[in-house]
Amino acid sequence: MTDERDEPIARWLSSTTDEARLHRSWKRVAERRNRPPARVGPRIALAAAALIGIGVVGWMERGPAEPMPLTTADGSGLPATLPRAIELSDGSRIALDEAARVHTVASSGTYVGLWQERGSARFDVTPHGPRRWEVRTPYGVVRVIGTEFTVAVAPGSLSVEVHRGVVEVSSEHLAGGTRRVRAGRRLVVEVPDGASDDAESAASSEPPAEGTTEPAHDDAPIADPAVETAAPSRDAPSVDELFEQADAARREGRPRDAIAPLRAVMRRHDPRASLAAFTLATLELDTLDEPERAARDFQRAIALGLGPQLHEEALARSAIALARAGRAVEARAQAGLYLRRYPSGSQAGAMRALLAP
Amino acid sequence: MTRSSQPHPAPKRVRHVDACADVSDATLVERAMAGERWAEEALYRRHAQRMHDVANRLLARYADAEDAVQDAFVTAFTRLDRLRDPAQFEAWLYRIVLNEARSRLRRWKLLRRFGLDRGEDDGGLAQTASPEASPAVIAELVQIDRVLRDADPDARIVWIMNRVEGWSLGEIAEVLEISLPTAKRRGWQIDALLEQHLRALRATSTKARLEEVAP
Repeated sequence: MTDERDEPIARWLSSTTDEARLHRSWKRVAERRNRPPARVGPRIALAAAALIGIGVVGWMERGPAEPMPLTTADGSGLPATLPRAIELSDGSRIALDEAARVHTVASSGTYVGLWQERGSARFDVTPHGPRRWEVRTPYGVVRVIGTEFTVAVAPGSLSVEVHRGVVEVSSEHLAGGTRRVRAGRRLVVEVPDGASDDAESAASSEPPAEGTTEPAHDDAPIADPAVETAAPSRDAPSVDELFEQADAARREGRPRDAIAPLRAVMRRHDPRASLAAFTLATLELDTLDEPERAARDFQRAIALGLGPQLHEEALARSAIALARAGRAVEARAQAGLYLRRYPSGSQAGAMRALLAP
Repeated sequence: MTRSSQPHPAPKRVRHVDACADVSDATLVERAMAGERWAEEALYRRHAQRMHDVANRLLARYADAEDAVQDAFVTAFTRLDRLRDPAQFEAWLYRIVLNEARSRLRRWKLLRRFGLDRGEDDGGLAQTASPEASPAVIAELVQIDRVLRDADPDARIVWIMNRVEGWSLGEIAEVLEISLPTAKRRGWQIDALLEQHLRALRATSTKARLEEVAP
């Protein structure tokens, strides 16, 4: 063995790490980072032991420290693709119509994430459970606390009808990005077919049916490239290649050339679409000085579903972008949304400053 | 020392998406220290793949490599205030990953001594050979895996970082905080074992030949 730089053996090896593994690994790191630090010194441990001794009776009534992921009737976890009808261990039920396709994105003791590709599905989520539920669709995300509602996805439209409780719908096609829908109401989000992103032509969001919430339109409606339902052609570049093109353009000082590949990623039904929207919005705000577009793309990233860290960042930066675009009222609304969500978040000071008279 | 100057093999299956490509490690570290969690995620996304690949090669076990990398990132983010020069984040992170790997390798060696190591090497060099690797290369990697399995953990780390990853012994000594002679000695240790193993293999291997079979 010498100190000479022979050709490293790594030349003959493949990377063993894929995106799913990295993502899974990051989730675990983030979860561990979010846990309060364990500082159980000997004295505290003794006190805890004493408390445990005293609280034997109470112990019998204690629930499990960490909620378990939901299971089906046979004790297995949520299937990757949901069947027509499913009842879960917490009593929640999901019924799909014939055309519906709903996939499980994530299922843990604190979170259930589903991807509804198409069709209509009725969700009866047992209230007050420990899990945060999200139903993601190509046109927006439905967040649930405990409620009964139906989500219908058709090409170019999303309909959320609430039978019981309240849901929150996030979509880039909604003014402010988020709307709450109460029981007995239906929110319909319609996406104009074939509208171009740059044209920003008026999107015809139909008024919802009788008894619905206010119409789901924006004063600057977004014609959306991120919801193209057609699969990419066989010759189309992969998502990795598109990201690589965008990265190369940015590295080489051609930031505008990064826009097209990033938008192309956003049009794919790929988990990284949200990251592409976030990257584009950052570019528009920081490099291209286009706060209006940045605000819209941050909201689009949020609607497509970002991880908690980036979600917080996107929410704050969207408020900043709106403020820079002169849309003060919306900026304040977005800042308020941030503070409700992240009252002690890292951008809380900046958001309060936006709200200051 | 800046590892970014190293010739890392181009990942075959994944390419990094770095939303903060223009932001330096030092800036991200400072923002992470200020409590901005997105900066931690950006640091993770920037370095995770290389750390996973190195950990896989050091440990040869996928699941354990993943655990080691997670532990390393959690340790790094928790102790960012101990990083004297934020620009050296990558080198510092490598050090943590190598230490995580070393503690696992030592534990396994001890367990093996008592016949208690039930783990299976599912990510050895031969198992991760690229499609371009010839059968001869793969055969060589199989033999290297065999030697590395029972090698001293410290020597194994030096050898892999040098011969597999292409680091210089000086860089390895710097990151591991050992002297250059120590790094050389550890590397030679594996070279000697390999030579001995291959010699024994040549002596015992049978010869095969193909014969025409009459119809």
